[in-house]
Formats: sequence, structure tokens, C-alpha cells
Amino acid sequence: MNKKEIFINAAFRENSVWKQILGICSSLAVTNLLMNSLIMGLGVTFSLALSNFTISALRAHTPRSVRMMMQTLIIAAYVIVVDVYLKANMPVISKQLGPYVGLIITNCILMGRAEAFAAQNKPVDSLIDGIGSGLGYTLVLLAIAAIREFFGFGSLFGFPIMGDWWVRWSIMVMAPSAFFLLAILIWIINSRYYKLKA
Amino acid sequence: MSDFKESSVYPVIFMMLISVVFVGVLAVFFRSSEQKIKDHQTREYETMVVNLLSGSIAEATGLDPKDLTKDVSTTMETYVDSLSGYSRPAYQAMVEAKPIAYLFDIKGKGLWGSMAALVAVDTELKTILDFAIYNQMETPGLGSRITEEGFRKQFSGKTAIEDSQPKQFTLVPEGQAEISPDQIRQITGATITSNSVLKMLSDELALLYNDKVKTNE
Repeated sequence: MNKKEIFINAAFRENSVWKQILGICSSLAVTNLLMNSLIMGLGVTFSLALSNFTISALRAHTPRSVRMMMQTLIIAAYVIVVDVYLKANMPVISKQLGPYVGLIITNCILMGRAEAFAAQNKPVDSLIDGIGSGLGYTLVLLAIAAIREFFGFGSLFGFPIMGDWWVRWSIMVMAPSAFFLLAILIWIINSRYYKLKA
Repeated sequence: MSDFKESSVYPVIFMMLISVVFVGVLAVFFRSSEQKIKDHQTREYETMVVNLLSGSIAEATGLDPKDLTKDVSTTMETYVDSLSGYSRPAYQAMVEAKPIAYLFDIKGKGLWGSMAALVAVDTELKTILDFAIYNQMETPGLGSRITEEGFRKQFSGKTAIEDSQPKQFTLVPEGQAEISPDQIRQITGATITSNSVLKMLSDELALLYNDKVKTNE
């Protein structure tokens, strides 16, 4: 596979959320506002790409017995970097995202890509795979957040789109709407673009 | 070299090395951001202090409370001093070198964990001026509603100490109107949390009142 194909595969064809159904909990939790989703997505992309790169670079020297331990350690380190950076430079967003930034450590996408891709491929390929998977995840987050913020607050990225006459759909602000929207999204994409093997 | 890689100590040494490197990088990164994070926290805390005291300061100076809360650090510097001699962190709002209100950082136990709050009181420590909980672990959507304006504003103007005794507040259901002035509308589904708030207030204010009596003697 060339670099472009790796990226497209990671971001779309084998998208972590709609194809692999990974990272669902955070895509439900932080999608009530577009800004939060964007920051969360970028945080995941950053830690995913760099942890993939590091794990891949160290793969020849890694003893099999402590492979997972090392992956968790590396992922945790990058996630803490993101968390501390947000706390220091974007305190408001950091507060809104609450514990979810720290919980990127347990996001299945990171461990999944580390095991499935980075542990067997070259560092640069792994980096591209990480960026692709991260952006694919961000895309899903943004799609859900756009619908939720538009109907729930009548705004996009905090800019009011609808006037004062707009009746806010409080269901869109609450957690259940994320379940419905994510399920509908996965359904549409799967029935349109993936042929089920009967 | 390959013999060493096969040996059983290699994974241990490898893991230790990796840990040292990554923890080291993190430590350096954290130290370099620590001051910024602390500044944000201080600012957030000061904003709350000013918000709670802005009513009293505005009354004494004739300024608009909105202007006071807009420039937190200036208001903090001009009007608020820290106060010693109390068992809890204490601040006083000073206008023309006279204290007009006190503010205390109080702590209590909630249903799931501890909570921390700021309470502004008059200089005799008898009337609550304003009250806000800034740290709690109560049930989201139920107990955590103690931070909402509708609940916390009920305490403004309430008498906390009467005849040197702490007043016992009682709860009434959320839908009902309070009949006597020492009643507080509780949060439905969070009786224990509501009671914890009342207990925290009466316990802590009684303690602080004793501190005040002692320092005056």
C-alpha cells in the first residue's frame, strides 16, 4: 500500500467509528458542541499519530511480553501532554471536556491502531495511519456535533444561525440524541457503501 | 546482543528505560505549564470571590456590580483583603478602610464526597449575603443542582446566627413556598445532598462565629 492508500483506508474505508465501531463512548459524550468535538478530535489525532509513530519506531526492540504495557505507557504520555496543554492554554474548553481528554488513554482506537498497525508497519506509514484514523474519528464527531448543536442550540461553532424564534430541541443537548444520531449515521454509511456478505 | 535480547531481564530493563524517558519528558512538560495552570485556577477562584462580594461592594461604593465583576483582578486588589485568625481561609471586602463583608471558604460532606463552598456574610457573621458551591461530587442532574442559582440564591439574606446560636434551616419540597424565613426549598431527589448543604452551612458558620468571638475577646 502506498501512503495515500494508507490514509484513505484509515480515515474512510476502515474508519474506526463507522466500520470498526470503536471509540463510541467519546463520540457520544463530547458531541454536544462543535468546538468541543473539534478539540477532542484533534487531541485524539495528535496522540494517535505520535503514539503510532513511537510504537512503530520501537517495534524491533520491543520484547513481546511487555508490548501492551509499553503501548499503554506511550499512549498515556501523549494524552497527558494534550491534557496539560489544554489546561494551560484553553482552560474553558478543558473544563467543558472534563474527564474525557484524560480518557483518550482508554480510547479503543488508540490501542487498536497500535496493535493492528503500528506494531507491524514502518514509522512513517504508522504516522499516516494515525493521522488518518484520527481525522476519520474527528469527521464522525463533527458530523454528529453539527446536527446536535444546530438543533439543540440553533448555532454552529457558537455562532447563532437561527434567530430567537428558534425553539431549541433539548433532546439534542442530552445524551440520548447522540445514540440515535450515531446509530443512524452508522446505518446509512454501512447500507450505502458496504455490501454485507450474506 | 541477540543473547541479551533473549534474556529474561531484557523486558524489565526495556520497560524501565521507556518509563524513565517518558515520565521525564512529561515531568519537564508539566513543570513548564504548571504556572499557567495555577494562574487559571487562581483567576477562576478570584472571579467567584468577586462575584459573591460584588453586591456588598456595589452597595457601599455606588459602583455597578457588573463593572466590579468585569475586571476581577482590579476589584480583588482594591477591595478584597485576606483575613487571618479564622479556622477557614477568610477574606474581607474593604471600602474606605472599613470592612463591609467577610467571605469564607468552607468545607462539608456531601452524599458522594466532600464539597467546598464560598459564603459571603456580613461583618457580624450573622447574615448570609451570598453563597456558592465550587466543588462537589454529587449526583449529576440531581444533587449537583445545588450549584444552580435557584438553589444557592435562597440563602442570600438568611440569618445564620441568632443569639449566638447557629440557626437550623429546614427543607420544604421544591414545589412549595416557604412559610418561615429559615426554610429552604430542597432539591427533589436529592434530600441527603440538600441536608448536607444545610449542615455544612450551620456547622461552619458556627465554627467561624466562635473564632470571631474568640479573637474579639
